[in-house]
Amino acid sequence: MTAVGLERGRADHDSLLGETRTWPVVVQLARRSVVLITRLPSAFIPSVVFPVFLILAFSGSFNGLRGANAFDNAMSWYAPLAVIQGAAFVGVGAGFSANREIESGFYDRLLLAPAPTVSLLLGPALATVLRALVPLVTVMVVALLGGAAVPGGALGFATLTLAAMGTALIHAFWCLGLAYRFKSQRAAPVMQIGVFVTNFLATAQVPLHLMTGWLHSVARVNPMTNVFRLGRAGWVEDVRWENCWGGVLALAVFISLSFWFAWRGLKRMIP
Amino acid sequence: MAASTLAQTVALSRRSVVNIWRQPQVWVPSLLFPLLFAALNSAALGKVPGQLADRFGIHPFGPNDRFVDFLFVATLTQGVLFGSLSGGSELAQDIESGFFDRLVTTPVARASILVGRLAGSAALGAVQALVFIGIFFAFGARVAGGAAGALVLPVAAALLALAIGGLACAMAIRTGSVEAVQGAFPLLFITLFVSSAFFPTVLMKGWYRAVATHNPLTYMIDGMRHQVLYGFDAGQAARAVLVPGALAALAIGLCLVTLRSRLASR
Amino acid sequence: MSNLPIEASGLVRRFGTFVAVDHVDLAVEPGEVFGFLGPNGAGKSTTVRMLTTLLTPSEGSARVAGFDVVRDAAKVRRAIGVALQDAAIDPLMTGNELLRLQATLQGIPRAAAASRGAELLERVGLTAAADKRVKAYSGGMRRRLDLALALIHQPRVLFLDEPTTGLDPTSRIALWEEVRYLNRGLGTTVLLTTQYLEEADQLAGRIAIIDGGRIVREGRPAELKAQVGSPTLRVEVEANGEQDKAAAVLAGFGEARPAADGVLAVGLDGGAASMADVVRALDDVGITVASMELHTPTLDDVFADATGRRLEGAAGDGDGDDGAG
Repeated sequence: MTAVGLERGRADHDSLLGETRTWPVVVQLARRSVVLITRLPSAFIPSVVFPVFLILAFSGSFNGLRGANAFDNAMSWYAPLAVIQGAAFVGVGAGFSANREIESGFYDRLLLAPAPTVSLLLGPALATVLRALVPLVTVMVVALLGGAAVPGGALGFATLTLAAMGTALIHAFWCLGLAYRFKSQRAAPVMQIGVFVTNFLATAQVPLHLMTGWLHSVARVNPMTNVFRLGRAGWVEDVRWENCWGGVLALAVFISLSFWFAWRGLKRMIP
Repeated sequence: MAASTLAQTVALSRRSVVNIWRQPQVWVPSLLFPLLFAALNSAALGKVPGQLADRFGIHPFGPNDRFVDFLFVATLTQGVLFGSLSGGSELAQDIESGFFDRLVTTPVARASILVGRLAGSAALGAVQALVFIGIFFAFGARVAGGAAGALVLPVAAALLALAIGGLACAMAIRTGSVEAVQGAFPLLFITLFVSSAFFPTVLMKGWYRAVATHNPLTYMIDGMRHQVLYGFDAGQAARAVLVPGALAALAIGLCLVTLRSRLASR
Repeated sequence: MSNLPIEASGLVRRFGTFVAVDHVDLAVEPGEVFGFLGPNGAGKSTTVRMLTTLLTPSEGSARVAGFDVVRDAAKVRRAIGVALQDAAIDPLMTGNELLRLQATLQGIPRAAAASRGAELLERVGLTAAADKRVKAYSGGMRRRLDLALALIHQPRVLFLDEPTTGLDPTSRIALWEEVRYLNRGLGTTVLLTTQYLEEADQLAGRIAIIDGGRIVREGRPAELKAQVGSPTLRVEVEANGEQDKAAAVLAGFGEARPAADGVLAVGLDGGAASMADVVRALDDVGITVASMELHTPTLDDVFADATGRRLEGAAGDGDGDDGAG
């Protein structure tokens, strides 16, 4: 180690310190997370492969449900499920990285910085939205190649994107909140199960009118049913506002609640 | 020598069964998750057989159009598939911990080590079958083939457990890594999904149907399902038993070859 | 309130019923290297985590760089640099990327960050490895990068939590050099925790020994050693029959101390200087000395004196055979 540089006077010290603003930190954290896709592909590839498998398997296995009046086009019905589920798992990934970083101590570095606390939530949120684009586009392409119809056109793609990104954010904030409380990778199964429970106790597989008993009762009040209706709005027919507003409302409410959950957890971690 | 080989195999089998029994995290999920999945699917798809019968007069879910009867074998197969992976991960654990090397340096027959390790999986498979039969009965499912038909199920389940356990063991011997064995989980899931397990192949179309129809699991599942939906049939029973039996023989052979090359390579 | 860089009074931290830190008082002067010495689990890291705002104290208060660690946590964070135990560095990122991230986190403008980062990398000898992923770094390189990250905003107060644990001797000495330079050259106040006696002895102007969450000794290393008492002289005589005679001679120089079989030990009241007199006195009565060894108190003796135990991993420094008196 050589003794070059650094011989700045104390007076120089404060000139180095600008105001730590939220946005640059958010961008840096998001950029890092996107870069990590290539550095740790094993953590990301499943979030693309799994939804592709999902759409192929469900549309292949349950193609016969057309005869039971479930839908007209299995690909169109299951593409939104695969897109939303894939996005949700990208959101869960934000929780996984937080688990990893809290366990390795790297998170202490973020907590120690004078950066605004909210940037620690908005950074992963921005990253989630960017990363979720990959499975989103991939599944849409697979669906179109597989014969999906999108009667709603561009608006149909937009409403599905909205539903997927919103769901991704809900799971991202929820899983960050869990990570802040568990502070270990033991939280991982809880995070994953959350996606399955919320999605499959809604209209993930079949429309409400086919369901019976307890599942019908649960799915009818599950807000994810509204989100699926929003996502499928332009994929089963023309986009109509009555199919959208419930999902938009559910997303707004649950993004706020999960953000609050994460924020409380984060605040508990830093005095 | 033969007597001692038997005694050794029994001793190792007992260890493997006890080992699994003492790790509820291994066997509880393989009972619980298929049942949850079944509960979900029967509520989501329960109306489908009736609708198809009403609208088109077809009965792909059996003569009684009862989805729960159809689902029975799917649940059983799913539980066995996932539960029997544990045999392989346990072996990989033995390899990672060095216990396996200790066994190999004793005069125990190689086959005893493997069969012993797999016996736990097979036993778990058979027990799962019996537990699922009990639970499905409680929820109103019936086996049309009576006692003879019902007997086919645990036998097929145990053989399937042996087959999957054997493949997992071969992987364990080759990689020596618990993670690699558990990484096979999604592959099993895909294999199960692209079969007749959750939906009849006649209602599928295109390449997906072709793959599902020729999936060995489909042969086995259809054979087992015939006992449940239509009644005992020796030919179908043979399918249900011979397919996993052949797979098991293949898997154990693969295991022995892999083991020999592992031992030779050092 | 005075304006010391680090001061704490009555600091307590409980985890459930376990008291990790038990009424710790600290007063670190500007420009000082303060050593926090103690075995694993003594409460060093917990104290540092409270001082660096990562943990709220259960009781008591602390000020760092003039700001309260609870009420003005954000201001404290701005003023301090921290290199945490185990070099908490993301192995998937490169040195350069981590520096850039750290600069953003500290609110340093992009242009300043780039030149500052390059300067620091050169300083810690990582310029060549700057674009390699940290995964490929050695333990010493990681610690140096960690130090560079802690320095990016030229903190007035630097916390180093076990900075050399697990490092090889060469890397350890290089890091010591760096800390000395930061302290003497730049006037940075440093609080470092360590479980190595030698490290505390080498670097710290003042140390506090912590055990079971309490500070059991505090002061300059030389003073602390002097407080433990006089140096021990151990003598082995050639002929077995002369043991008693030798013991009588040694008794004239101080109190006998426990020693292994066949060895005589005495606490030299006159200090190390009286060793020559002992040699002469033994010679005068015709005793042939087989070996003679002077043992001056170490920080381990200070630790043993305070706690009744030897510091973990320091067995080689002290002497096990006479059993800590």
